[in-house]
Amino acid sequence: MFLFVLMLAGMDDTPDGELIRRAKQGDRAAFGLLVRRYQRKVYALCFRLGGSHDVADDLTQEAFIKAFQAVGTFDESYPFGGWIARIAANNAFNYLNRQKFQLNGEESELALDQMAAADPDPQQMLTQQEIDKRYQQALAQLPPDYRIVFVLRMQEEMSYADIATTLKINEGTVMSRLHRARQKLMLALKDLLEP
Amino acid sequence: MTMHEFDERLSAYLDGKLSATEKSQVEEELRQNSDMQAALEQLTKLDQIARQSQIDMPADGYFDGLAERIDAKLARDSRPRRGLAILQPIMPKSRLIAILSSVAALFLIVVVVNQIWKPEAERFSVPKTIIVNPPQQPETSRHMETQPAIATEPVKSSDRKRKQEIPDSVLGKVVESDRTPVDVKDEEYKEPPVFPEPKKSDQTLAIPEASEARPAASTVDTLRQQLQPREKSAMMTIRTIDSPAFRGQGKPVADKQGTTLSDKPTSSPQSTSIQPQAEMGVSNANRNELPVRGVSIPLAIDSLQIAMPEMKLNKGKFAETFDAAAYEQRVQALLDSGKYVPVYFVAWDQGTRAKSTSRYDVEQGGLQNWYDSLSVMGAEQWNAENAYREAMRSRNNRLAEYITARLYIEHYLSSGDTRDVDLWRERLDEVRQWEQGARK
Repeated sequence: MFLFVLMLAGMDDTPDGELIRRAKQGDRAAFGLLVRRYQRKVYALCFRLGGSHDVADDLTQEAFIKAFQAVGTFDESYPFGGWIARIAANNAFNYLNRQKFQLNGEESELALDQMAAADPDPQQMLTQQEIDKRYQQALAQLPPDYRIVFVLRMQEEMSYADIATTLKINEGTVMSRLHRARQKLMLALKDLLEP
Repeated sequence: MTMHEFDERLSAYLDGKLSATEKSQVEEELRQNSDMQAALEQLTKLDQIARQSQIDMPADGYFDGLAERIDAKLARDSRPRRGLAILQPIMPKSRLIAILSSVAALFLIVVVVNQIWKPEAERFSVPKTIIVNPPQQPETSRHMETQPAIATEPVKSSDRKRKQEIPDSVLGKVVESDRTPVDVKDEEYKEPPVFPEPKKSDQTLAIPEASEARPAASTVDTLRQQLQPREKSAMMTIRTIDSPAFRGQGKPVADKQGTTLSDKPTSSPQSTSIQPQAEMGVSNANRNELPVRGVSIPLAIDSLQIAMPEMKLNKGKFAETFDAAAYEQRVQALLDSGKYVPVYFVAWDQGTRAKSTSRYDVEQGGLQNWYDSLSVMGAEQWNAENAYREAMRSRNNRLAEYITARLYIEHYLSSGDTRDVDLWRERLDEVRQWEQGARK
């Protein structure tokens, strides 16, 4: 039955609010429809933050499971998309912090420097796909603290205040990390940015 | 100005986060400075690339099954479950085990910290090495399936009679006082596992200069040498302890032939492979013959230790009694003194509890994680990281933890061996802001 419901998910036009109300009562099928609706958005965010499919897969599943466990606290007057993005971002932030605690960012810094030193031929015409790939590579090498702020700002278009709330840091720190993220990315992608 | 050395205001300008005054200032500068204009153009282009970027999404098949996989986990979560399975729906088993191992290690530290806690007068007189004794097995527990998981009775730090090796004189007293020969045949007895040949270096647990209660110049570098690290950068060591006191827990057990196991030739303590007890045929009897491993961790005396009483005072109605200045002075004095204390934990290679459950493996998790972190970071960064995280999740003792974090980060930044200086400066600013907020 659940599978059948999922198959119909693409056609389902039940409003988010109704699905959330049912999910709050423990209706997993209704929550499954929400998963279907937002899974690509959440996956994309997790991929940008985690840097690989395996990590993105784990983080995406964790985000939805945490969302289901906390759906009782969700205020239906807010968009579900923003809420699940915050949960995913917060979950990824914790994950990246754990990684950083074990490894530290030295390797990433080195990789960024190497990318800058490689200095590809600026005359070479790059396709959009190639530009995206270069950007993703540079993004993945950013220190996690910078990466998450940059992605939330650029891809999720969150305000400074929302980022600060999501990551439990102050707005000054958001501004500072964004600045540093841009600095490092501009260095790594300088050949793409020069006129 | 180079393209990547632009003013932070430019980033804020692009995001519309400047005040009207600042904005007009930047615009004026932009009109006069062509480099700044170029930087702004490139910054705009970077944002454009970022916003337009697409990732390679997995094939539809992945998303077709994602909701189903999540639902399966939620379904498992909704069923009554026992043990580790409770948490498995929200994380992979391997991660779960790693986390639980870390919790176990933390628990060990808390236990030891509680045990070594001294009154005010002795607080600064820390020993170089603190040894945690093995648990004393109660007489009645010999046939029980469970044993204590961790050691809880430390040798007193004020004991100046300790020797360089695991001091038989000290441990012997404990053991002898508790030793009661038991002439009982154990029906579960099987042949003890065969261990590889011992390495001479692992025959004893050598703790250099442990006889001195307090080092003359206890710097981190000195301690690094004293710890005889496995690797050059290692700050923590894991060793096998071959001590009858530890190995037999002072309670020799007779085998079927009436021979006391402790009287047999010493089997090698060098057992690096951790196998389930069932595979090794470990019984309650020969479990006592298993080697014990220990791990030495250099800890700065931080908020978990010296700061504890002050932090407790900083809760609720006692907050007004917290003397922030005195506290800061105390922590700073400790940092200046470089009193990094190698704390020694011991754990059994094999089951410390019932068969097939709750093995406390030093090699495969738990303390190994601490070892890895410290090996990579070194004590200064490790402690700064730790203090910063404590401050981040601070709830009740905010000011004390913010002060602690600030001092540790400052200490790390001034160590001359700081990695990712920008990040740590930024964290320092962050912690300072928290501290200012907490002081208001």
